[in-house]
Amino acid sequence: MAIKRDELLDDPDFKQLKKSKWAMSFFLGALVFILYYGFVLLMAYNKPFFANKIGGIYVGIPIGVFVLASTILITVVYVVWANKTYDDLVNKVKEKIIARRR
Amino acid sequence: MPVQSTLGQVSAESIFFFALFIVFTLGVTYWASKRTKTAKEFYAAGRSITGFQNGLALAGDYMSAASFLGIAGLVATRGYDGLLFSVGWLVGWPILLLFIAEPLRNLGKFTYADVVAYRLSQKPVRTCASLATLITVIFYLIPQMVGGGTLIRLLLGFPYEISVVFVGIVMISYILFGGMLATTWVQIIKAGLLIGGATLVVIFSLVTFNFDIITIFDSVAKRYGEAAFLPGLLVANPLDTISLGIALMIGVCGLPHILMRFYTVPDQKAARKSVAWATGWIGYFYILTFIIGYSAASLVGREVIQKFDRGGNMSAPLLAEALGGTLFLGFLAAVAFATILAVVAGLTLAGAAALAHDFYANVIRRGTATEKESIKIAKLSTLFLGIIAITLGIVFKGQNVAFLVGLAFAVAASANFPALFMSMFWKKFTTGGAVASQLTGLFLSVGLICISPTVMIDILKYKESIFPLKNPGIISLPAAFIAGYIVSLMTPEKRAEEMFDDENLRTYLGIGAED
Repeated sequence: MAIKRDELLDDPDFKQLKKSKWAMSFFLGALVFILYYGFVLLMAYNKPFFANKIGGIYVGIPIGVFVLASTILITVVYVVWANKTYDDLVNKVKEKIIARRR
Repeated sequence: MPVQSTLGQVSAESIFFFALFIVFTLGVTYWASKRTKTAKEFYAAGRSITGFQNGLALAGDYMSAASFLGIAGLVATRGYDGLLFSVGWLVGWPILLLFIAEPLRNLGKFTYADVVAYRLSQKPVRTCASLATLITVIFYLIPQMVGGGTLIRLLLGFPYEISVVFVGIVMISYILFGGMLATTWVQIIKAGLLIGGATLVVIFSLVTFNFDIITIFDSVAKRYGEAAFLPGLLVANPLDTISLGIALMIGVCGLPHILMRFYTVPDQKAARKSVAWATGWIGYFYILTFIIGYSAASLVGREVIQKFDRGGNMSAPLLAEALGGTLFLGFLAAVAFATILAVVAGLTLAGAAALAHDFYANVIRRGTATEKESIKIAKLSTLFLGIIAITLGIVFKGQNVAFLVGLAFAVAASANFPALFMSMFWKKFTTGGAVASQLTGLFLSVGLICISPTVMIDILKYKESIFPLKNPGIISLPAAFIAGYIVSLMTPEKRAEEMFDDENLRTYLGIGAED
């Protein structure tokens, strides 16, 4: 790499990229934890709740399907975000490297 | 109702689908063999797999016969607990996507140990990593082989030993001749068959119930009471459930055969897409197995299901027979067989890569081995592991080995994940820290399982166990992190610290990543 490594490491765009990636990962990761352990704890400590019915179905079934579906949705949200925002930042930083090489 | 089921008898329909699958996948292997010459092709399919394809292959690697037949069986015989189980199996995937998949692709070549050893001394780190990989793979393989042998006997009536040997030989041929490319396509075909087959079963049952899903649930509630929809035995001990949850969630991020799949795609973008596809397919599949389980309870009945297998594993095939006769049963039996074959092939390839790429090429030959040599050793390792798998499958015949899957996840979560995570994101991580973390996670998880209720009470028939929890994850995972942290601080490594900035550029941008 012709560009100085330290220059790139201090580059505001590179710092921004790292920051937003971690913010996104921690936010979505926390959601997964809350969803899953919320579900487990609900099952463990409030069993009678599951005897309720919604629209003729025991509530446990829509809740379970909701947890599965949200898990899938979280991965989709991340991929959509990364394909757009994250990759844009990556390309921006990479272009700088090429520009400085010339 | 098919109380007189043809299950367990050799039927022309099953043999037909069975043979069709074998012939077709061996054809794929022949095609792949012409494209498998270099190490990159053998271990990583030449990085030619797309995100969508890899997503299906990941789903194929992950959806074992245990999850297909097991979860449906759990729902059919025990009710709601099955759902908690399947949710636990899925929640690790977003974690894999958010923290591991992209940097793993950017930093490594063929195995996850490439990443752990990136800044550290190759020899000690790779030795530990290949040991942990082999133990994970073998723990995972044993229940697959035993389950495979039992399943084929139950479904098709072949003798147990012949089934195990047959599974072993076909699996070895995929890898030996077609490497990762053939293995990937076997996974893709199997995933397609499994998802398609499960969808068909669900459509057939919905037709029977006039597309009113509530009638399925109502008829189960009428027959087996409200308890079929309430949390049951699995959550009797919440701490145990949480510990199992940790092992399942983080274990996905440390399973060598899953991690290895990320090297088959060209870049981090494809790596991330593949996880989203995999999560979607697996989640969809779990929702299907859930409906299959309740439909089986309603249409076949728990009494009949348990007559064939006490654990309820035969509920999906029995439901298929009730809905579509022997033809459908034969198709589903062949799908279950394909499932086992594909999973053992993926596992064995990961084990062979650890032996040949990590241990032989980088530890014994210190990186001086030629590519040809490395592939030769990888093929020998495949043969060796295949023979081990067949032998262990026969040795453990009739044993209750299902708990070994949980153990494989606990080892993956404790021995592999902490070291992988710290090596990617912690500047002060050192060789000593990596070795300490891997060995602590490995020995603690295996040790605690040995003194857990699963082994001491269920298998050795003691009255009490020394360790109270069935799964060690809640102890062994944090312990591996702490060990890695403390030992790293005690053994500062200047070179590793200096390399962190360069590693960072590669972690986030993919600069310097191969291809």
